[in-house]
Amino acid sequence: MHSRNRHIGWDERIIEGFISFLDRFGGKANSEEPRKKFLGYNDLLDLLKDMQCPVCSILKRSINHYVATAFIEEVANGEFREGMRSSLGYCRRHSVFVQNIVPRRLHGMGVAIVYEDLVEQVRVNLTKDPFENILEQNHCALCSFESELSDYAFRLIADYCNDPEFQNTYEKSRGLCFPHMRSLCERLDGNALKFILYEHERKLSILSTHLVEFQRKSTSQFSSEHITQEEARSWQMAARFMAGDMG
Amino acid sequence: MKQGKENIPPEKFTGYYNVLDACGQKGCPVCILSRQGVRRYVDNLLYENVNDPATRKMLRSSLGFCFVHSQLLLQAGDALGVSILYADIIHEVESALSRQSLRAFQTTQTCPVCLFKLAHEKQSTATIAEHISRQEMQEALNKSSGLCLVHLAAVAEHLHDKETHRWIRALHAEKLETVQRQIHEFIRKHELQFSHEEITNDERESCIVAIDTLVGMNV
Repeated sequence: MHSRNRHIGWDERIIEGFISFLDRFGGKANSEEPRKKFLGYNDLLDLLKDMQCPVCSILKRSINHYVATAFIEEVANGEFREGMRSSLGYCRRHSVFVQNIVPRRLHGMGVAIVYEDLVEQVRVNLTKDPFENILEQNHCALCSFESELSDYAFRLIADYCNDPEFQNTYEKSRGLCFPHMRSLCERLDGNALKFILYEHERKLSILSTHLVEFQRKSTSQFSSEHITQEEARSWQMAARFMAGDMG
Repeated sequence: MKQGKENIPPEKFTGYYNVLDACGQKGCPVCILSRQGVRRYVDNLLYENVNDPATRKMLRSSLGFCFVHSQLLLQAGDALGVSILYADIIHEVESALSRQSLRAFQTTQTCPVCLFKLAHEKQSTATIAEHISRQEMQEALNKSSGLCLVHLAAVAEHLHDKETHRWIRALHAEKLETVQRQIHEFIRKHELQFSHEEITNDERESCIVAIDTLVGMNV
């Protein structure tokens, strides 16, 4: 990862606080003993209250921040440029984050400077004989960043899964998206795992009822019945839950 | 590049003409065809196959669609069709959760739209490679924005003739030179002393085009 310490994305203080917290408690996630709460914990609660998958929100926010910072501050950084050259930019999924910042004047310049370099590299490669397939070298730095960051987020959730305040907020929230719930469950056991599975079963049962009601009320026979807001949004909620918000 | 006598291309078919048409649009022709194909697939899925048992079984085993294609499904605006498909998937996950069975979370198949997209792209790149010795195809590729790197590599894999290989690489090197020139102009015109010069639309879009060329269009 290019100059990771300089633009770690998710608020550095949160990650540093989390790491020192883990060090203090021996890094044992998912045990029953009470945990000291810090900035990252409160951030997690706020994200849950926003009714979005907190892991998706953290990742999206951090990658946006990473990309926005990198294409302003790191453009003249040799290490960053070398990293970009060796990976030929980012993967398709993460390139969208770069394309989104192009219309901003300063960021657009940064992207232009970096990508002019990459286009030149590919162009020169195409004229070489024998031709090397440079696509084989591709390893997206943002993929590593994302995986590291989601790991932190999962450890954070795992640590507080038995906390009554966290459980209370989680019950009222929409919870995690399916891809992140699946990854989190692989890291949990005991009561924490039971809590997450039970909560999602409950949430999905409500969603399932809304979907069925929406279908029923969409038939001409019951079209006189009022479709509630939850029922009207249920098909979008279901698609978002299953696919996540991060791609 | 001239057509070799020993290299006789197969008969022309709809796919061939689709490639020629796509070459007239902005962007990688294979990505453009793939995008059109994927949209048709999603429309068809929602319009005709929502109640098809095989489709439903496939979606249960893939646990729905990937992020990009679920967005496409939502944009299609068929609320009832999407709700029927997802009611089934959500029910599947719900019952797995009630059994507390994490194994049920393992998908046995990737997103069906991704599978379709891959097959579609494979067909388009094969068509280009098979017909590349035709002058009509060469002219179309010449006039096009060029293939993205992903599809250029796929076409090149099918080419066994060194001359054709060299020709297609030289053609794309030329196209990249144009993109590079536009990016360069975009940077230059941001400098204070040239800031009065107007930035053209091509120059403004050059970075987006460069990214699409390196990683393919978002389909």
